[in-house]
Amino acid sequence: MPTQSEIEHLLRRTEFVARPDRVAELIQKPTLAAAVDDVLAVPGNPGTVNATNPTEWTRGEQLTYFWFDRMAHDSPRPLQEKMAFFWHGHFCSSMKKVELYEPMREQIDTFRFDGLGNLRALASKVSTQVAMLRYLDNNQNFNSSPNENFARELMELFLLGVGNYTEADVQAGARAWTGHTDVWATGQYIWRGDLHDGSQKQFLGRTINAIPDQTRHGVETIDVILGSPTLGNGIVPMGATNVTNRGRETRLVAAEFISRKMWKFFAGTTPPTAAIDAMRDAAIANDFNITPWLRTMLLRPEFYTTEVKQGLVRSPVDLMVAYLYATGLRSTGIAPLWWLEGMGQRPLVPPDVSGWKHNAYFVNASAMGQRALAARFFMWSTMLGFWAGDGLIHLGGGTISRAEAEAYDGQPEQFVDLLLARMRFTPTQTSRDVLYAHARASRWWERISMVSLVLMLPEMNVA
Amino acid sequence: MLDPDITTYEAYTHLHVAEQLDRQTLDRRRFLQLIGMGMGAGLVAGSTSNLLDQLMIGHDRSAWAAGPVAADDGILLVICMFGGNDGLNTVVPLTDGNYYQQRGSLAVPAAQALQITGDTGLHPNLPALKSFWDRGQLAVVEGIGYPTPDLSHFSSMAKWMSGQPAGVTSTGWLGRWLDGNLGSSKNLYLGAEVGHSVPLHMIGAVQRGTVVPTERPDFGASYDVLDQRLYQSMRALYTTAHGPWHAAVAEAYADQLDLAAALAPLYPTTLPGSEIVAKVEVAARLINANLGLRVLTASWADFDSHAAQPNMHPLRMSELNAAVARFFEILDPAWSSRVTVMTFSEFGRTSWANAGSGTDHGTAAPHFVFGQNVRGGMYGQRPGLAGLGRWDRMAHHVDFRSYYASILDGWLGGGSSDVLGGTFENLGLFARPPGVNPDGSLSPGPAVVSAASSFVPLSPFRVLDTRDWTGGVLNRALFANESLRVPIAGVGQVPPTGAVAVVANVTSVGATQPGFFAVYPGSTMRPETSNLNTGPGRPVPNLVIMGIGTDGCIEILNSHGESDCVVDVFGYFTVDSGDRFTPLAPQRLFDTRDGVGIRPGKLAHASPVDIQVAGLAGVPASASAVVINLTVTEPESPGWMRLTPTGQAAAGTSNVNFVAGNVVPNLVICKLGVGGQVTLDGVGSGAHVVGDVFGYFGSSGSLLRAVPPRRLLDTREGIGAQRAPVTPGTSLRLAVAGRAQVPANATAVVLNVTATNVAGPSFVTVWPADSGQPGTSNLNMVGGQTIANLVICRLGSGGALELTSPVASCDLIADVLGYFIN
Repeated sequence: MPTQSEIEHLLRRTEFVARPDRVAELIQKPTLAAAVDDVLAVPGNPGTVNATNPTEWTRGEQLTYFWFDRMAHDSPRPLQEKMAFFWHGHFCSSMKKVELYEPMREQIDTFRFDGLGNLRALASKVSTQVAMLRYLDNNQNFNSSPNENFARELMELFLLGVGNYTEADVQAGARAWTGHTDVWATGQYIWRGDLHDGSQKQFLGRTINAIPDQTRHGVETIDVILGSPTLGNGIVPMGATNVTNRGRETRLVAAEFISRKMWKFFAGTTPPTAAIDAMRDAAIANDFNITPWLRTMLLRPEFYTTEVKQGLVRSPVDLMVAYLYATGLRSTGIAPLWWLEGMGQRPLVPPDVSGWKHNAYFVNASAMGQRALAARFFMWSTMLGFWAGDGLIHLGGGTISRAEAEAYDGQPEQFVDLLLARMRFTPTQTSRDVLYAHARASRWWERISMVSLVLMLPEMNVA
Repeated sequence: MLDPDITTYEAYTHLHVAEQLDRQTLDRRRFLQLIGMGMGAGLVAGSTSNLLDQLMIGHDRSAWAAGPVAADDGILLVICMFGGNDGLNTVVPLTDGNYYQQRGSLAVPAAQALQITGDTGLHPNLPALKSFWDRGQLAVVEGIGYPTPDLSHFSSMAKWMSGQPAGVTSTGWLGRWLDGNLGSSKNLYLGAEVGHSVPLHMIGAVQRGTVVPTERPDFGASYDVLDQRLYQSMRALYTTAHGPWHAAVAEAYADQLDLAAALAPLYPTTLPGSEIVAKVEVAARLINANLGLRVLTASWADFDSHAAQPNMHPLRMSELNAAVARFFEILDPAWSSRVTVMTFSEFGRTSWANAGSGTDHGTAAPHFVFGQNVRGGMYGQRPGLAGLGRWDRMAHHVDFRSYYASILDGWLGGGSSDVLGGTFENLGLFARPPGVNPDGSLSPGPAVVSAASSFVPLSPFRVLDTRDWTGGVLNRALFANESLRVPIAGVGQVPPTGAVAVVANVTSVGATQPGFFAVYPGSTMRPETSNLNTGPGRPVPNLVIMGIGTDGCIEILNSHGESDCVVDVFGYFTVDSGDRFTPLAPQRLFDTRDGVGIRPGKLAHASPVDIQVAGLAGVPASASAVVINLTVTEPESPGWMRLTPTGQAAAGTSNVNFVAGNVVPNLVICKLGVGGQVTLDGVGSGAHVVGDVFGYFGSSGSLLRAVPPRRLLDTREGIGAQRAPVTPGTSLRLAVAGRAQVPANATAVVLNVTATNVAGPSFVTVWPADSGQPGTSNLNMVGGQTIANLVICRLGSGGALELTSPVASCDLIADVLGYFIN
């Protein structure tokens, strides 16, 4: 049987928070593997948002709120949304450059629906969607004047990592992707065969673009990188700057590259070699199917060490989900996106094509100030009717009435315990003692603001 | 061709978030300007490790507070114009027919431009810049750009901010400069953006600039009792028991509280309405506060004048002008020789006007560098307009890296090749280095934190008496607003080198008007602090522990009226070997009123009494000197008292002066004499004397760092506490550690505490926070009095002190002079 600590850790990392009911459910599983399989059993159709706001930008906000509520409240298997967010930070596009809502929704939904499917399919699909075409300028990649932006990032940031290809591969890749563009006025995808360079090319040691279907020429670069029965497996060229990988199959390099990225995202620590090797082998054995790949990671003993359990700061999105869960609030109007921006992570607006980083990236004085302000705003939002209304504090695990708060006036510790239970949160004993001391120094009407102090606890800020 | 225009203001926030790893490694030795503060251990980073991870975990908590601005440090304000400022209408080519032809009605008429050279005029709305030109302090750098220009706002601004015209732009040029200066040590106060997020140019591989809000920071700066309790609980959450990130988060929360508390008092109640004017006013106030800031950045929009440019660009120019004027209005003139302002934008605009009375994204543009030490003139090369077609862009002649290199090497201490990854031409924009006045003299620099130092007690001796020319400095009273440099190093038993701070009793004698003495290190800028409050009547002494300036002096300023001045030295702090300080919880050592520790009854005229110190009140037998607050009460006639090491001849010095009926305290640091005793004697017909011990010096303990005097508390102004007098029955909690250059791990602090607006007879007690109010006193006052005394007190929980005035309400002011550290 899995231990309570393992299950809580697994849930915090895969489902944002360790919901008590989920802990109770998974602790009953005969093995950790069975628990992991339960986490991975995501619904086929996670639904989508019907955004009705008036502008592109505000429809993007609507999508973000919908997504937060899926993460915090509505998804039966929040890993689906967590994995989608991983891909959002990996195959980045930004509303700021794409400027249109619909292509962004299309891309995000691709991550949500297919994020635990197959990497080859996912990469291929995302590559020709308008969001990516616009974000990395492939819509301006023409045979007469190739734009290498997308072709370069496809290898550098999306699939292989820097140093595992040559400039000639970038140029060949760029030419292979010519012709996929959009109609600027409408934001619709369009294939322009007249702007495509259909010639055969050498790419990572293989010949590509011999097939007559020119719309598939770009995708052939992904096939070569991830290995192809017809085109052959790409090879890291001898001219590549990464000496160690020269001559290796690119599919192995890709599997390791993305395994490391998954490890950093879910575990937070420096990836252990043995775990990365095992994840690579799982990716290759399953031809880049993501579910068994992720499953391998979640079953590695290295994933359950103290170092990993203490090794990840909640990203602003993770934090927002934890706040929403503890307070039971829904996100619209409650999780203002400017705070997320100040914290360093606003969905739909990644900082640059390399996406968000982790841990220290989010821990600095100004970012923590934004977290504190958000915590206070959440606190107020839980008690809108406390003084003049329903007389209740509304929290994720139920309400606290004025009568209850007053009745506990002389029992500060009991009030803290009640508050924590209603917030469905269990802090460390150190923090509980600080909360007790704070409550002892306060009268009942002062104590109700402790909702914000709970939201600011360090353990609320680590995953 | 369509411009790839993603022109929204929001687009730029894209540039305002961070990434952590850069391929460049910087040789930070080239940048090292910081002295005094503890620098973190050298950074070791492999290719797979996250530099920021290493920065945050286990960093040196003592390096928390601000670093000092040294006398030769330049300070830079960077003004960023978002949207692509129209360079041609900013610096107008007055005699270029192509300009007037291509611009048509959008051109600035030559007659309206503010002419600066035969063929150059500034936009008519820039008179403030024109006046810098007229003083020879405005450099106009023309034709700045970069190879293969990018016409997207986002991409081009990323290139400018990163200082890299190609490749992945994940760190900024100023961020890399911060990296070079700080290595892995932590300093919240070296670089700051006045705004809401960190812009790319302030993000380094390891460091990033602090964000200082445009509005007074709210969270962390409130003195409301409930808020204070919340902050205290937040600070109490710090523990390393649950891993490094748990600790890092708690620490960052405390950081934010420190920052807000430090910055909030600097904000005026109302700021100018215009965004950039308000931002630069905040920047000027931050510089005035001498927090250690070297680089400040501020930006505003929108310069993207595709359409209706006549409605937009002149307004932006007016705002720029107002910002320049406001910045230098607020900036303390003492900083003039150390501050330079520069502008930039992501690109200029097309030379041709478009069909919508606007201009489109261009390339090269001119920018401004101005300030007292700038070598005014025209730099770079004006891009030619001849032969340019509708969609043609101007050629650039100055690489933006050359522009940056000129600032880095000319003003920020060098290192441009490390920051920019290559060698670029220094345009020579500066006439003089920072701190040097036009006449070649050095501006007094802000004082710096002294090196950690230990104490050498001396038999007291007088170094200055303006009544009898003792010391040979002056033989008349100081005039109002006159300052006097008093040589300390090399005088008497103080060595000529190695002494960094002096322990001296400064006395005002025969003051003609109420006023104050401000004491500060020699050759430094006068701080906002005061040390003793002068006035007619009795002489007013106060102990000071003061950093010795680079000229070997301390400086004493008399604020009002005339006053003679006496300085007695009791010891000095040195970087060479000496004694270390151990702070004690305040405890009463002797009291003639009840005979505790001394023979009961008033001390008679000229009747020395030996007082046992070693072995009592927590002072060990091995102690070499003691810190005692000496209070004289119920004196029957005017007189003075002094403490002398037992067995040594008393010198012509004094510690406390009084007239009949006074209650007068003064802090004394006295060497212990024979048997661990001190000898008390005095002049006057009889008085009670009380002694409270605050610590001692011996072979182990803490070292002193003298800091530039800075105000930590002023209840009249809401600095450091609520804007309200301290009332009987309440205690005021004063956070010290983490503020005013006092680091988190300081063990004790040296404060000058002043009481004013005193409602009636009372006294002030200072003690370590949460250690229980002791039965001691630091300051005694009567109604209407303004009086000060030096306090050396151990820091209590959270690095805080508590202060109270138990009998009558009063306002309290506290200036920090130094701190002790292990």
